[in-house]
Amino acid sequence: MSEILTCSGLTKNYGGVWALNNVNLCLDSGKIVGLLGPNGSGKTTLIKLINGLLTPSFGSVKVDGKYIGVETKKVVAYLPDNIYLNSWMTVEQIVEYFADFYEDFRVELAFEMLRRLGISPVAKLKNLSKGNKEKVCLILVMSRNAKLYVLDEPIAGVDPAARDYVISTIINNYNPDATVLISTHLIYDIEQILDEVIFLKQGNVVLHQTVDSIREEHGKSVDELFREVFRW
Amino acid sequence: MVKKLFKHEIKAYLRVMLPVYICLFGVALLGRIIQFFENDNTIYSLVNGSSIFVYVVAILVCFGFSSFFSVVRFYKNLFTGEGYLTFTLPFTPTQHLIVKLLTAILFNFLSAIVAFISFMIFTFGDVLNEVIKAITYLFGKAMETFAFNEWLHTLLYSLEFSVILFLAASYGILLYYVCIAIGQISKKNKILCAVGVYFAYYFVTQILGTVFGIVLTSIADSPLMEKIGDFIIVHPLASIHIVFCAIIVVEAVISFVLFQITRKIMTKKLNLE
Repeated sequence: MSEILTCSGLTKNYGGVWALNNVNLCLDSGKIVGLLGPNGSGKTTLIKLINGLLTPSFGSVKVDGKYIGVETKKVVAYLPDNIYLNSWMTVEQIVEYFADFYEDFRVELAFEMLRRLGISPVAKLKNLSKGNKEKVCLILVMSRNAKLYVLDEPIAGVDPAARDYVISTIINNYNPDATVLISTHLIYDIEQILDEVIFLKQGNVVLHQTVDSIREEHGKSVDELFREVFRW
Repeated sequence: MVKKLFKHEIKAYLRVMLPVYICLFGVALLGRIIQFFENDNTIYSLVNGSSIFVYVVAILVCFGFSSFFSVVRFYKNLFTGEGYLTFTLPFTPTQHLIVKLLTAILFNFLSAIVAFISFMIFTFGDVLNEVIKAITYLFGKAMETFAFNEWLHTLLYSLEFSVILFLAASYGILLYYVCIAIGQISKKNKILCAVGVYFAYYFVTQILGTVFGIVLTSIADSPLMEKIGDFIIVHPLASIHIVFCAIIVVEAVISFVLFQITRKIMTKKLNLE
């Protein structure tokens, strides 16, 4: 099993505030990993660093053995926590856009998922409901045959039925040799699909363990342990 | 791969600029058709005057919109929510910046060509013939004055002038880009900050320009300036080349600095919401 993500002494400082503080982390391929922590714990900062949207103050991030750059962007599929689509495009045009730029994009799979959801390819993105826009974003990301999927709060702000759709879309469409890193604070909904969890607290990794070992060692679910670690 | 980035950038521009160009051609054509009904009637004068006014406005909109859209596109596609997609495409920030800059320049020049063609449509017939005659006359005079009949000079002047035009367009666009890039670093009121940076730059360059003018005036009678004056009289053709080259160097240096600042911010100081 190869290492897909390596963070060494990763630190990010925003004007005197340590958003991430000396994070050392290794993720193997073929895992679904939960990146868990309360608001402001540094989850989104870590995700932005993995995607090259921020540069580290100190330390380094490597994806598939390479420093962040064009080559890593080719193998990372990223779902941000906000809608990032060009609203003037049609669904078909945004699919074409992804297909043009990502060699690993599976066009047929994308259209098949859209068809199942009843989203017309000729619909303008600006005319879709917020929920459908989020689903289109997820479909675009999961239609890639990436090595690392980074999903930032994919189930936050969606109703329970939509959460089931999101989770099933992730499970049914990700490349099994790839790693999925899911950031969330809705642990209960996602716990059953996780292999490993990372707890982030005030920019520090306070726990990185498999879900099975948490249950064995602590005799608790991940949700229960999270509530204990992050109790106010 | 960069070709694909160009393709999508041009598509985004065409979506907005094509209707503007079609409208401009439509207004020019309508204006020309109205001129076919020329007479002394007051209503005709009113309609014709209005068509000329609308045509002038359409030309201004064509140029203004092309610059405005290049600014909006740069800001929206890179520094708002769309930036999450743009910056995670497999390209470097430098490639994004070059593609955005070259496409903006392309559409600035395309707008000029479209405006020129629309002018030919609007003035087609006797007026256009008169305009062509005037241009030919002025061109002939320029050729005599600046020794354009010597092919080497003609070639060099054309080359230098083309570079000046290209760099002037680059400078104008990069100035907007650098203001937007600096403005987006701010936590709040990013657009307001960008406007503030633009006015601060304008203010500083005005002061520098005034100081330069004062210095130049104060040394107008100095031996150095006399020598320069003599050189211009003895070597007028070479003097024009020197002036053109000096403009190129100044424009190139400023454009390079603006490009590097924007690139650095896009690489190291990205502040997406």
